[in-house]
Amino acid sequence: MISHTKVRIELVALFSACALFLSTIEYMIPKPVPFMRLGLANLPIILALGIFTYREYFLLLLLKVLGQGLISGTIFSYIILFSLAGSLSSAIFMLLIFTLFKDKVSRVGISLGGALASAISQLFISRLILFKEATYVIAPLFLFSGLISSIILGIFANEFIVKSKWYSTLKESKV
Amino acid sequence: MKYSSLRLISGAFIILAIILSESLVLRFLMTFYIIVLALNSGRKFRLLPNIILFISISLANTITPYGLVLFSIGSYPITLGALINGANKALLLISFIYASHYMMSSRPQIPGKLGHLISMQFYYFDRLTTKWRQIEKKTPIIGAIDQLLLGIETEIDEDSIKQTEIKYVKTKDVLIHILHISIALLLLFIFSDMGKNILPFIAQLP
Repeated sequence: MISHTKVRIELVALFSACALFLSTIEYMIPKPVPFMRLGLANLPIILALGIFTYREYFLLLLLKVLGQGLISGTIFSYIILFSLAGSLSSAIFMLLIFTLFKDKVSRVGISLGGALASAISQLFISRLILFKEATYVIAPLFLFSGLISSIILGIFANEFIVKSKWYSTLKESKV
Repeated sequence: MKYSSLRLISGAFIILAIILSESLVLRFLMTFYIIVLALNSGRKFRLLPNIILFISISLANTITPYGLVLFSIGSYPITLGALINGANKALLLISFIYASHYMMSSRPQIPGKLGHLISMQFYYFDRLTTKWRQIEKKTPIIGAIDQLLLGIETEIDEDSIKQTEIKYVKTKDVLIHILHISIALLLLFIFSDMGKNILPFIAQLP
């Protein structure tokens, strides 16, 4: 018989593999500006809310960051710092919104909040170590692109939650 | 030591070499090498989808012009730097997919809880990339993802019932895998600054 813990671990692994897979797809899409990101790999993080425990959620986050670094080849560069800061702040903020408001806030709101937290933390790191004063020049474009992509991602997450048989089975069974 | 762990270790070294390679030619060689290893481990390789992937990523990257302008389509410049950048990205992606196919071909287990989790992550990634290509192209996106995830779950259940035979390592296997790692590292060395001093023609390659 398969133990409960093993099933949970396999589920975290499946979600993290989805994040890795989405990172791969995102990697194929060219960006007009290098720092612009669609944040497709955040989709499993948004969907994991309410399914995973805090520990599992942050484990998923760690695997997502490492996977993204591996796919984009930035795992051994300072860019991983940006990824880590952005992902961590966004995950904490999304978890906070979800814990406080539960279903009163849609995934669009959660995704938007996460994107904002991620953008602010990355701009902060950028100001600190990379672009210095020039950060203020890229900030509007950076925030705007994050805003648009997070809304699209949130709409998709909402649709997925409503339409996906796999996800509804997962929620109903509560693993 | 299990044979699957040996593949995992050599695959990890090759991935490291691929990530560290900066030259396009070197990345091409590494990609070719990892595809051969994946084929040897029983995985399938289809040329056309990979060529389409390579061309589409390379062309899509011309959206960010960089370097020498090769020609223009109307007012849209096609630049050499952007094409090389795109080709580099495409090769990294293809090599990574085949590296994970190679590493996961006998479902290895990294020791420890985190190790187990990482092994599972790569195993699922391998299944996702393989199964994704089999999905009908006209299926709506959410339906396609659903089909993919439900399919993988069924497959995993069947897999856990089927107890696969564990193959243990022989000295010959260790030597072969050391050879694979050495080839990857040797290529990396040849294309490094030190290697370029020894073989000056390497410095002329993109």
